[in-house]
Amino acid sequence: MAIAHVTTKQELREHLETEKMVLINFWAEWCSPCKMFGMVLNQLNDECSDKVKILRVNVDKSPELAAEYQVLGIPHSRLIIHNKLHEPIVGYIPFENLKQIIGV
Amino acid sequence: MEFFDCAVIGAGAAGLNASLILGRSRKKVALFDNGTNRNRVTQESHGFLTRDGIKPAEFKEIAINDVKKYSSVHFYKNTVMNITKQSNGLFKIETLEDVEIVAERIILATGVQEEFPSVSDIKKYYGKSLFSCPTCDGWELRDQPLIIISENEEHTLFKGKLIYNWSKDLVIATNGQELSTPTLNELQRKDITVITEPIQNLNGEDGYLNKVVFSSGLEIERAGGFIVPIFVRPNQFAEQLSCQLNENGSIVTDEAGRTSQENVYAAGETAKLGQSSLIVAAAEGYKSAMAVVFDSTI
Repeated sequence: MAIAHVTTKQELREHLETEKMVLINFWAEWCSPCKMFGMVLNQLNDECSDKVKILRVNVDKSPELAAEYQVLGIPHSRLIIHNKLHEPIVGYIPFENLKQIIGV
Repeated sequence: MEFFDCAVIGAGAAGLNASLILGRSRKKVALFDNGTNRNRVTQESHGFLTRDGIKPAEFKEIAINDVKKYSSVHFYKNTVMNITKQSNGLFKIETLEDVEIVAERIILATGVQEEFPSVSDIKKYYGKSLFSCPTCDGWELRDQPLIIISENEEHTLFKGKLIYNWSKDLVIATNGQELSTPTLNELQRKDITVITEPIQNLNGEDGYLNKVVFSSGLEIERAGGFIVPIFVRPNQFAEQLSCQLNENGSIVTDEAGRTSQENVYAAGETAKLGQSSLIVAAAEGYKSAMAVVFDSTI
């Protein structure tokens, strides 16, 4: 399954209706670490899309969503498992570390 | 791996002034610059005594030339990806370009970036006729018909009253957000018009606004104005280093920029998570560098 790019609360809500864990990543075009982390997310999606659904939110296009999730800096990610929001995953994280953090 | 007394992350006014003072204090400094200074879209910077009206690129060039006189300051045109505190207490800094160094102390001076209200083409006008800081750019827009684009009620009222200092011909556009009756009443008392319908588009030439078109077809002529962006840090180094944050997201620091984490300092816009002026950011960089020098002495 491809990584979904989400812009509205409604879209996000629809994506959260899943049995898989959901990883939301907040990013922007001007943020180089975000671009690098995007490659990590692509790799995660290639290997683990059966376990984790990845959503990306461009903070320039969806400032309301970024504010709702209290995003103060990017790249910033949140894991949601069965609608329970877990602690923020901050900054760029290498692939193996990310897998360890989210437990896949 | 090369060792430095201090790594300065970010080469805006804060980071450059910090590097200048550290260089003059004979500290070995790694200064990281990835060229994403927030004022790069601005035509002129104001309010810095002796430099009022200077182009941001020229300001930066002069500042870099000042810093270059001190050979212990090393420039890295790199994007820092990770800062980790090692078990020996030193900080390892890794960049996108695979540069790795270690430093005893860190000054975070990476500034902030803006998230704009959702109005198409707003970035075309930002820095030329739409601005975010009235103290910085209000003078150039004085007495002109202005628009304030603000989607956040808390900021709308304050910005409206503040910008009234520079022009009394004000229209506030909330881009689809409703305002409470007390806010509307207060704005009405100052004869500030409020339009809550969504903005369809902005019209103008070469970044200079002349008209705002709303979804109903209503068109109003405006020469410029102000927007109320949300500010975000372009990284999460403060969080990665477990620096304590205030409720509003700013980094907890003392007056000299010391954070809650030993040997980590923060200066300029990234510390306050909001806009600053060039001279204030530079002064904060100066103070954080002094703190580095003092703290490494005693």
